[in-house]
Parts: sequence; C-alpha cells; structure tokens
Amino acid sequence: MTSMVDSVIFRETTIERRTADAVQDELRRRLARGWSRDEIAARLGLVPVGLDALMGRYWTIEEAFRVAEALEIDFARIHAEAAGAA
Amino acid sequence: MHEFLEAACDVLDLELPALERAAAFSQEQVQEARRFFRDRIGLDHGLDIVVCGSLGRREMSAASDFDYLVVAHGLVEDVTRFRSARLACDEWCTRRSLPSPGTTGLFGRVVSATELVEQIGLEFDTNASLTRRLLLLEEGVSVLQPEKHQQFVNVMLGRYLLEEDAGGPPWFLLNDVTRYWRTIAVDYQAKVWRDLSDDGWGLRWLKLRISRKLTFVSAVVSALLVALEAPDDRRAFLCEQFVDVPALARVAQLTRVLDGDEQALGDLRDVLSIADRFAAYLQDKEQRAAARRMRPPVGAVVEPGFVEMREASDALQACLERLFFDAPALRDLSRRYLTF
Repeated sequence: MTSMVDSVIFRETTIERRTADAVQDELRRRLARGWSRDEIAARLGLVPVGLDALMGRYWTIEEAFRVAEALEIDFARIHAEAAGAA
Repeated sequence: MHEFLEAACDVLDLELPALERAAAFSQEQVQEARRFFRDRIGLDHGLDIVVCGSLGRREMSAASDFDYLVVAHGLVEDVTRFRSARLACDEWCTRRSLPSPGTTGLFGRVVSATELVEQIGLEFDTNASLTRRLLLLEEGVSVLQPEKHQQFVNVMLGRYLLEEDAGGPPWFLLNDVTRYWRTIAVDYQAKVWRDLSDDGWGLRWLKLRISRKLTFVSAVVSALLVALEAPDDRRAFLCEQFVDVPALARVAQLTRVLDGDEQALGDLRDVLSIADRFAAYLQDKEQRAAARRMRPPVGAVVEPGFVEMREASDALQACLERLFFDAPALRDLSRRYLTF
C-alpha cells in the first residue's frame, strides 16, 4: 500500500524535483521567519496539522504549483532557476 | 504510547522516542477524526469508518495514508449515507494533506460486517476479504462509532472461538492469522513479478520484513497469551487485545511471560528497538524517498540507510526465531501451534 502521492516522484524530471523542493524550502523559510502556521494552513485549505504533514513529505510539481499560487511564491522564477541549474 | 509499551520500556530499560512521537501524532489524529466524522455524518445509522495501517497501529507519520473502510452493520435504509461517508473521508484527507486510498484497491469502499464474518474460509473468502478482515482485526481503529467496531470484533472472535478447545490457544484464529501473513508474503512476490516497474520496491520490501511481520507476530502473541494466562473469558480477553491494544503493545506484553529469561528479554528489547528505528526511518522523508528509489535485487543496494534497515530486518528475524522457538516460555506452544 505505497503512498500514491510519494510514488509520483519516480516519474518526474530533475527540474520538477528541484522546483518542488525549492518551493517547499521557501515555505519552510517563511515559517522559520515567523509567518503564522495557522494562517498559511488556512490559505492552503488545510488544518494546521495538515500543513505539518505536507511539510513532512516530498511534493509533486502540481502540489508545489498550488502552494506557490496560494502563498504568492514566484513559481515561474523558481522553475526557471531549476531549469537553468539542470 | 500504550501502557503495555511503557511498562515494557521500564522492564527492559529502553526508550522508544520515534514510536512515542508516532503514538502521540496518531492519537491526536484519531480524536480529531472522531469529532470531524461525527459532525459530518452523525451517528444515527449503521455505518462505522475504520482506519487500518499505521494510524491503526498508532505508528502514523506525515507520509502515512488514510486507509479506511466504511463498515456497514446491517441494512442501512438511506443509501446516500454510503456516499456521504466516503465524501467525508475524502474531505478529511484533503484538509489533512493525507493521501486517500482511491476506490480501486482494498480501501476507500463500503464492506459488510456480516459478510466478513460469515464467509471466513469459504469459497468467497478471497484475498481481498481475508485482507480486510485481518487488517480490521489486527490494526483497525474506528473514527466514528468505536462501539460498533468493538461489536464487530467481538462477533468475529465468536466465530473463531466456536467449538474451540478451551485449553489451548485459539487455533482457528491462529490459522487465519497465519494464512493472512503468508498471503501478504506471496502477494509481495506476485506484485514483483506482475509490475514491470520497480517503483517503491525498497519501501515495500522493508515494510514487509519489519512492520507487517511485527503485526503478524502481535496477533500470534495475543493468541498464545490465551494459553499462557488462561483468562476466564477468552473472547473478552481477545476482544480487548484487538480493540484496545495496538500491535506493538501486544508484542510488548511478552515481558509478562519471559520473567527471568535474560536472553529472551534481550531479544524482545531488540525487537522493540528495531521497531522504533524503523518508525524513525519512516518519519524521515529523505530516507523514505531513498528507499523507494532502490531497485532489486536487495544485495545490490548500497545506500547506507537502506542497508542499515535491511540488516535490522535480518536481526529482527533472528530475534523472533529465538524468542518463539528457543525461549522456554514459548517454544513448546510455538512448535505445536505455529508449524504444522
């Protein structure tokens, strides 16, 4: 009963992996800088412990895009940087 | 953490930090889920929602799935209730960022409590029904109507104990538990053969050799305790074991019967320690991702974290063999009831 979400990471490109990780890192930095966990969770449509669960696993590129969109993280820039580094 | 595990930690001078974290996280999830589902779909119907897997074992991590079954107890007059229950589960998964099981596999669907009991061992007792029944028994936790789940387990045990010899462990139950364990192992091999992709192999392999094996062992322990401790009411004893005591806590009970056997207590200590290490491994997303990237054969894998857990799984097997087949307290029962 492998997690359906985690299994996606096998079929992604390096650019997608780097992009998703970079978006997650940006969210982690915001939380570390004191952004409200409850508010971020609410903006993502989650309860706070759902945000903890989200941060505890790798994201798909689609999840990263949704998070970036909800939190106004510059997804296009991050993706371009990931592509440039590949 | 369950009191049996805490008691074992005192006896064995052991700490289980990863399992403590997982137990606290799991318990919070269960309590929140009960409030949520009662609010969403109420209680005035014959449905229960039972979750299996790591949540049921109180070993949940951030990456755990929400493997649920909607268990129908008798006829439910308003059929829209079934759909409401499944929609509520999907909403729960979305809000908690948990992977939902979908509808094509073992979970995420409605099952009949009566059928699961009535067809034990008969021609329509398929791999799916066997799996659902044993998972509901060994690691199911209700997130809606716990009293219905307890009633279901009690009725199931009544079937297993019917016409059983009162002196020994419940042999019918042991046979079905063992049959399920062999089914899991065969199923693993079958999927390795069928699936052209090796995606996720490493984690499936480790879970089979550690957590699924320990769940099997936990059910065996409960059954053998019936013979070792001779409770007045076997059915009530087993019902409490499977409803109120998580899998690893059932294993930890062996401290009660291994008193004074330092070798066996040392082996039990190692078993619980390995379980804690694996829980920590599963809580680490990098380790999990690394395990999923591994490809068979297992001997070719050199990634250090995976190798460490592979060696731990070998050590677990050795400890269990010594515990059940060398320890004086268990070896006679094991030889008689766990072999032929």
